[in-house]
Amino acid sequence: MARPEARADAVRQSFGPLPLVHGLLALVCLGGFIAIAAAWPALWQLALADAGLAYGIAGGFLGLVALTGLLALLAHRRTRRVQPGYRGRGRLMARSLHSVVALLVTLVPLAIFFHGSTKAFETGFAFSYAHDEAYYALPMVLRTALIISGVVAVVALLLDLILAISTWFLLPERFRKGFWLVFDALALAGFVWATATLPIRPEEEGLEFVLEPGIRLALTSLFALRVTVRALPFVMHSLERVTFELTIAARHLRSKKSGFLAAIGGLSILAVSVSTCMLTAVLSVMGGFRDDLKQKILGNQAHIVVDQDEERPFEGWDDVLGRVRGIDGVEGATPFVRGEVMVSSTSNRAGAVLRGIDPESVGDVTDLVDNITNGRMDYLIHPDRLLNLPAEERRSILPLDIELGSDDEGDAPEIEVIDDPAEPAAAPEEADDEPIRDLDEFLREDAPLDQTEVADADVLPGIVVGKELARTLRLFVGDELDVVSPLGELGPAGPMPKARRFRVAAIFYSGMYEYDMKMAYVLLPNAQRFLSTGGAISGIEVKTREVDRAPEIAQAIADELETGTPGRPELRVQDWQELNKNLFGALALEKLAMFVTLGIAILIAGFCVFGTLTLMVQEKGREVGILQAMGTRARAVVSIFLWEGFLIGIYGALMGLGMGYVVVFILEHFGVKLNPEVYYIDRLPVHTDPMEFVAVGVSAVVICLVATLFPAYLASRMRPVDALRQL
Amino acid sequence: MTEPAAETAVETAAAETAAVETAAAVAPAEPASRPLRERLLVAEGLHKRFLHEGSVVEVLKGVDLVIDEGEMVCVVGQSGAGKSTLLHLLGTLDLPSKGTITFADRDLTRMSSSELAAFRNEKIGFVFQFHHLLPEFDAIENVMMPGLVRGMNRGPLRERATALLEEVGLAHRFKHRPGELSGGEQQRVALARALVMEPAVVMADEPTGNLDSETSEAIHQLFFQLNATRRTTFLIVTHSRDLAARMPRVVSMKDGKVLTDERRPDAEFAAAAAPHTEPPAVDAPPVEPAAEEPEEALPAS
Ligand SMILES: Nc1ncnc2c1ncn2[C@@H]1O[C@H](COP(=O)(O)OP(=O)(O)OP(=O)(O)O)[C@@H](O)[C@H]1O
Ligand SMILES: [Mg+2]
Repeated sequence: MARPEARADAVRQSFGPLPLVHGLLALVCLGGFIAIAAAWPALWQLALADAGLAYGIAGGFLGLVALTGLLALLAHRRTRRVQPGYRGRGRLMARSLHSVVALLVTLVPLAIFFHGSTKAFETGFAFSYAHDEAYYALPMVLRTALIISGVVAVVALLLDLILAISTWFLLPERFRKGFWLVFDALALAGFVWATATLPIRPEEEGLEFVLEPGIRLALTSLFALRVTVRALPFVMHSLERVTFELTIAARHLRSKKSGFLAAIGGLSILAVSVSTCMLTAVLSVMGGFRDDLKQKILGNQAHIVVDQDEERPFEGWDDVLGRVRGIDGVEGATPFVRGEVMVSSTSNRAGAVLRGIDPESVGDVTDLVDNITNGRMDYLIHPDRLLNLPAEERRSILPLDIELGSDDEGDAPEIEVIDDPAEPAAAPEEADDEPIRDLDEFLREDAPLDQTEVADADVLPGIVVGKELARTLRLFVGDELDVVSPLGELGPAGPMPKARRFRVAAIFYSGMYEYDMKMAYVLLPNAQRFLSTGGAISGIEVKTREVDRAPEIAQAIADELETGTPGRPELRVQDWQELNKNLFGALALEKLAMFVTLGIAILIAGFCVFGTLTLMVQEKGREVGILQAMGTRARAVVSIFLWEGFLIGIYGALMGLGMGYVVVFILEHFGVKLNPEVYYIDRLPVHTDPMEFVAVGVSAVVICLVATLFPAYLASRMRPVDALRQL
Repeated sequence: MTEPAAETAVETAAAETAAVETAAAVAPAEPASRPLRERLLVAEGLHKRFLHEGSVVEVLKGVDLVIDEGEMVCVVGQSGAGKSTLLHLLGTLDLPSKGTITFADRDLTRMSSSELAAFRNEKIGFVFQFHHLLPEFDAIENVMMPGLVRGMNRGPLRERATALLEEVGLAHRFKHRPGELSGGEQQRVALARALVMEPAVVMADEPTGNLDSETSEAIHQLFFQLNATRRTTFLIVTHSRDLAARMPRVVSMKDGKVLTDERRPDAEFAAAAAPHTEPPAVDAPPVEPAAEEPEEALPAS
């Protein structure tokens, strides 16, 4: 019981003030290390802007490190003269040695910094900037030194952490208590200050906006952590008053245990919290992707589609449209015709889905109109206007914003319409892999704007294509393209593909690759004629006022169509979830798979809990015997250990959920940039579902409880005498 | 157990003295011939074997014992004779390999483990040879523990525990954990814990083994006093000749068998009378929280 105290006493006596010096040293050194690590990138920036300040700060670091090194050397000299317990001495020696190494290691980059120019300093942090040209400009020896110092610095940082923790406990308890008191006061002050003055989330994009909310988040998290640490004894104390089993369980967990059990106990709490943190973060990100997808689907697609089998034409739809619009909860409805087609420009061709739409009502149902980035919906109805676009409007609509807002091309309007029908030779050769930007450059040089003349071109029906399709076919607004239907008319030599020429009226960007690549919209009558459907349509798209009510409104529509007059029971009504059943099914499955995979991480944490509790049963076996001798039933013994598992689980889960919340908060508000070329989305989407947090927490606790079952059973099966004979 | 009035106790003691005198010649193996007392704990043909590395160790080889209600029994014998084992069997902490134990006509060997747990909690108070306090709890909580096991309210329980600790002279050590108590203090806490539920039987395995003679004496007085006032039955294993000499009944064991079983009415009488002639050993030493002497002795009164 009193052994650690006694040892600390012995150490204190034999060392004199040395542990104090060392503990402080550990803190200073650790702080210095963290500061240096944190400051390297900043220093790099600073050196570019203000070399003098950077030199000053670097000099300050050098002084700090030199000071800690000096202290370490002094302490090291003293350890030889005193005769402390060899463990404490070992720790102090290790610390001293380490400090010297740290000094040397930190000196290397600093020396380079002082020796070399700002340019050389840019390479200071070997790993981040290793790809930098300046880095390769350095002589080989320096580069090697940088890399070595980087590696050693990382190892040293870890070592420092361990050493700092271990020497920390050589400090007198009074000092440690005082330290925490001051620390907590500072944490409280920091928290209050941050809450009062700093923004909670970045106001704009960019590194400089992240700093302040970042500091606030860090201070808040630190404060929350300290509050939990402080509150824990009180919580445990009040738990003890609840039931007898809980009393014993709480005491077992709080008691000083043998080193290994304490370590594995701490480890199992850590394991539970890390795994729950991971699981919540991953689920939130997956939820974010799902939400993003849902939003995009709902933006491009109707909530409900009324259609019929492909074979039979959907006639008499005017009446149906009217009736659907009359149903409560329906915001808008629009007819459409769809068919698989092939589209080709002079440079390329691609498969697409041709959709005939009613431009008047399509805006009520989908976001198509809002998604248009170039051109206008108006040109679909009046394609003749495409022929003589006013110069400045053409300017504003001509540049194809290909790089997704990543570069602002102020000078781009010079680009010419790609496909001048008069001279098809001007179109670039087949060069799929050639970046578009080069194409722009090419066009910029060869075809100045004022040379373009499109006045005598034909008036062609308009077509709206997606951004990806436009990019593949190298289309700009006003360009022509051919649409080929595989189901053509019957020619003299059998069926012949039917081809029509359209002119690009607008380009849209929905944010969903499938749509941007596949969709081409034309006017309903044009599509009907082209696809030879006569007066029939493919279906009616419906938008509801509330997405969540889509299934029930779909049912209402189905009922109306079936029972109303005239009855149209052959029509099929599907809501968006049914329409995208496969997609969402796959997403749900993926999420489930993720839950299971990461759930296995919790399971492993559960093994840790299992180990802890089994050891606990071993270690506390004698106490179980005593309790049994006093009349504790086997059931109560089981519940004592179940409570212990529960407490470990709930503590770990709460910590994990807290950490997970912080991670999700960071992801959501500080944003992780994604490569839009790959993910088709510019930052990591996050959707937090409180129910998911609850589910993860509950499953972590349940797994911990299950892991406890066997050890608890084991404990209850011990016979009092056997337990009592254990010493 | 309800507390009988002191007079009844004295009466019974007197009656018993007479009864024992008449039955003095009767062999101890036939307790049925002593009708004036209720048979409380009866063990018949107790055998206990242990399997030790493949070979059978026979620790108890047929022990018969009858303990009457309100009796004070002392078990003596050389080390390894099986005294602790016998105590464990009688206290239902272990099952005999053969033989039966009945308590107030209930067969303990046939009871389920949860019935036994309730039985132990209610009827039996243990003082173990190695104290066996719960290291995470302080003295007063350790004393309260049997009550907490039963689910009693903390308030009255704490009062009772406080009174008992004062009685064993530990008023100044309430908040100390077992690790911060001397061996003798631990033993006294264990004793207080055994008594807190006012059990019918107290089974004590060398309860004063670690104590100086004065403190031991005070504890022994406490036993006799409780026996007289509450008619608590005591079963005490001891190596102390002094105590054995003053106990009304001494069972001596050797090699797992009962060697002799003598009753000495005069001894009992002397002991029972003692608390009335001497002040009870409740005088706690003056409260000195700073005092750190390893052995805390009760001052002689
Ligand atoms: N679980 C066991 N396995 C094997 N042998 C055992 C076991 N328990 C007790 N024994 C043996 O039984 C014998 C009697 O033990 P017990 O503890 O009853 O002795 P005791 O009379 O109380 O001795 P002491 O006065 O030293 O306490 C000892 O020789 C011991 O080795
Ligand atoms: Mg013994």
